[in-house]
Amino acid sequence: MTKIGRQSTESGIVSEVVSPLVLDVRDFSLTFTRNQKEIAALKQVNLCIKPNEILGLVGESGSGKSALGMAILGLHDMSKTATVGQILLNDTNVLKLNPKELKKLRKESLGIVFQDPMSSLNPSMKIGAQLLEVSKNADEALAMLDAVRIPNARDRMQAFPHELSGGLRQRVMIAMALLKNPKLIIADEPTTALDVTIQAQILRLIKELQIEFHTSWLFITHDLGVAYEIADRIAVLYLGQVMEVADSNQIIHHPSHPYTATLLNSRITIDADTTVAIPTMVETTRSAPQNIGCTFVGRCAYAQEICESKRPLDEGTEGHSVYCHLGSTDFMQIANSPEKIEQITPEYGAAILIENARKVFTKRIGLFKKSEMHALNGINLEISPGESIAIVGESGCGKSTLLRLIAGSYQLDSGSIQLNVRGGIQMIHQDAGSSLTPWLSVETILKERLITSGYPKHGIPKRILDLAQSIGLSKEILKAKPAQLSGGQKQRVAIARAIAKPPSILLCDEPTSALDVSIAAQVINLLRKLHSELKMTMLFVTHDLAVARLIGDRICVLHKGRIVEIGLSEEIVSNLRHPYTQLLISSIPGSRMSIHQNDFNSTDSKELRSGCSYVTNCPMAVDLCSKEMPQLVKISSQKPQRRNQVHLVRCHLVSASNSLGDADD
Amino acid sequence: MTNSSTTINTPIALTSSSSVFSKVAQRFKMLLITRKSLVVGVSIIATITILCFFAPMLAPYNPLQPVGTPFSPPFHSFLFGSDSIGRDELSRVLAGMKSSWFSALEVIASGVIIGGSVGLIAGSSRGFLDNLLMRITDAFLSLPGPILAIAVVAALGPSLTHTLIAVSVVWWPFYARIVRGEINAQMSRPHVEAARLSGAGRTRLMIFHLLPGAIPAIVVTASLDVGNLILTLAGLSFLGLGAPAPAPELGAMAARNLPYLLQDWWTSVMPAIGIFILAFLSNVCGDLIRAGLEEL
Repeated sequence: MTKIGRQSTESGIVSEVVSPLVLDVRDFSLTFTRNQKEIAALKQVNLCIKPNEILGLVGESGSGKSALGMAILGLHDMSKTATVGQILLNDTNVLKLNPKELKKLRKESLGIVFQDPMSSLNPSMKIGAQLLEVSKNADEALAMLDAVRIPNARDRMQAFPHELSGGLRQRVMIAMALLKNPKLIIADEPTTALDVTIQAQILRLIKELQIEFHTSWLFITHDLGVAYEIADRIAVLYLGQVMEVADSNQIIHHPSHPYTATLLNSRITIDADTTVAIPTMVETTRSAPQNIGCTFVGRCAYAQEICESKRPLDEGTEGHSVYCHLGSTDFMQIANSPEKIEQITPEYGAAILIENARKVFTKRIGLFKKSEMHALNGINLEISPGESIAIVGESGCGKSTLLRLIAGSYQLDSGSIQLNVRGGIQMIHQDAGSSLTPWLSVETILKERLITSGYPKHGIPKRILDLAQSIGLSKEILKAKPAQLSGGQKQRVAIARAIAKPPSILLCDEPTSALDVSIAAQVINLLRKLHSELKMTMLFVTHDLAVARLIGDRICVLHKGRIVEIGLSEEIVSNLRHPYTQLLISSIPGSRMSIHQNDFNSTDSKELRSGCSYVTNCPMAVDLCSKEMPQLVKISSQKPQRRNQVHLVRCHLVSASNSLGDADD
Repeated sequence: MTNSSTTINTPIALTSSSSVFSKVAQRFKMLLITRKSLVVGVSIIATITILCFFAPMLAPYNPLQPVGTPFSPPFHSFLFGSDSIGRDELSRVLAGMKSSWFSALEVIASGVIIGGSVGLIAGSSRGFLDNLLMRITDAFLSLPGPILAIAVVAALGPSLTHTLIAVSVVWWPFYARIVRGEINAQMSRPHVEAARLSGAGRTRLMIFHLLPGAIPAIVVTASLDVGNLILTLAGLSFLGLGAPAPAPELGAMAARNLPYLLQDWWTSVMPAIGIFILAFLSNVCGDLIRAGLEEL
């Protein structure tokens, strides 16, 4: 597919040329002015997107990846930004256009998909009406909803955004972007807010649509795995500077830049070595002035003198750009040997004994009606002292409710939870920032915990300093307020508070899901180290099976308030039985596994009172599944050492094969 | 990590006592740059309060004693002229401004304290106590302010104190509602759960983890309320529900001198201007403070 563009040559003659590129970013630098300070967001970026190609733009927070997307769309406030270089969209320099031309360009050749579809769709307008704003033709809009695989598209046209699920909303956004038949669609973290299984669906959809509509995509994400899953080529950005651009396979398997290599090393994969810490980035003493030198010098283990004084140029080969002075070395090989993490054996007995726990949330609708949400439907769980257990599930499965019941923030409706605790219970929240009281300094927050736990008064200042040191926080941070800290620092403060007086039970509610990959790895290392040092019982809630395997002795998979599979981590990962666990594992981005999955619930799960909770999504469901709730049954592959370590699965198919006695592995 | 450590690494180390002043000055300078409108708003209110406090000393004459010929026009022997029995209008307006301003502050202080406590307790308890306190608040909200004031004054005799009590009784429920709303919003934030789990008791939770979050809302409401109260009190005083006769009260002065409005206009216009200045300035300050706090 070729695009015809107009290009004015140096002699001023306008000629029709055939351009092979949809987007060509040349030596592009972008500087913001904020509070009379100049911040260089992008530094001499060179990128291109070919027709019918998905370019994955990967970077951590603050890398400038969204700033680039905004610049292509011409959405920056030009009074506060300065640009150098060119952004050629079909040979039109976006930076030279006036607002009216920009508007026309955006309307005709650009599509946008944002992270949060709820806030980018108009909540007071029906889906159909919003689609018709883009295309005047109702049939065309309907056809597009079908194309993005929205079931009952005709009815959905009459729905308001809040009546759709997150995945469906994102499909509507994609349909709106595609309706204009744009040359390029910019997708800014379109799957970040979604559950892993929904994310896998959306990624697959985008891939299919690319083939169907021959559109080019700029896919912005913080996750190399997601980019690998979807993109033809990947560009890696760090603090506004392109590090490496290459074919996705090349980037993942043979990274040639130290940043890409360390980023890949700190990714937690399903086959990671569980006995050692995840390799993380180092902090070096080197630094580069804002506008010269390599931006990665501060965290690069291989940095040389020249990296501080000169910005690296493309040192790579044809089709594989590497911006590094050290040339294309295989940095994956020369990673330093990681720290060993000691495994502790849990004691006998039960630290937490949960029996048939149920929790129902009731919401009043109007004056007389009530709606019930069954968060937990009878959970039985026995956790040994010193054990770490990972609770895995998607949003709404009841995993956070379970933690809060143990913490005592919620009251049980029926059943019982017995705690055998001496040192108390502490919890680490998902969003560390909001779990720290915003107007108190770090020191006050830590001091409060020590005072309320009855720590001797004269020892408090010293204890706080020791704590800060052991958790990896500098002394200056103690005087700071939470808002002045970075994401990783906030999470460290939250951890420091939790272990100030070591608890016997530590509850972790997705503590790493809001963090950048490299920071998340550091936090997980820290938590594992503390777990083995302080011999705490640890409950770790996550949606990521790879993290669960690394951190948990056992994994417990929840679905709609029930345990569907539970067992030792290695056993679960190597011998998983429940179709839902299979789906979770195949949805881990970067695995490039595809599994058949029913995309949508055919019936509303709320109406379903009997039968398996997973039946509507299960590709293997039989008649029995919709009639009767399966029980947890033992998988007898190996006899575990302990009673609570047996591998249990809640599935009719498994129980059927088990009762016949044919273990199929 | 690198980003924020640069902002934090600025040393906040202990310094010798001689540089404490310069440190405070620097803090203020920073505050002036980052929260200009907040600083300006608070400064104006502080200035008015100080000026009002010293108003009797600024007054050239005794506001209660006749000091010259009656109905002397402004800019002759007296700057604001004199009233029907020859008292200096300027001195009376200044004294009236002092009483108006401080009455307003007193009512607001009582509202913030009573309403704030009720709101804090209701918002942080939920359930029965919350319902009980809020229904009591609703009951007080339904009392008609001026009529209650008339009733109180009729029963206890005219006095500024009685008026203030009557107004305070109807004023606090607004604060209770606002504070409860803010506290309720804070309650669902994770930091409260985290603080509770780390062992903070109820009182500690309320004072250290909930109340500071409601302070911006209280400050904004209170500063916008000053003007409102000055007008309400002046209105009551105009109706004769204030300090009795010789006392210089702006509303009462405007009312008593109304018959002379056509010939000797200054006798009632000057106190009205006093009311206008106070109400206008406090409203402007309220807006400035709100803008300053919203910049956060």
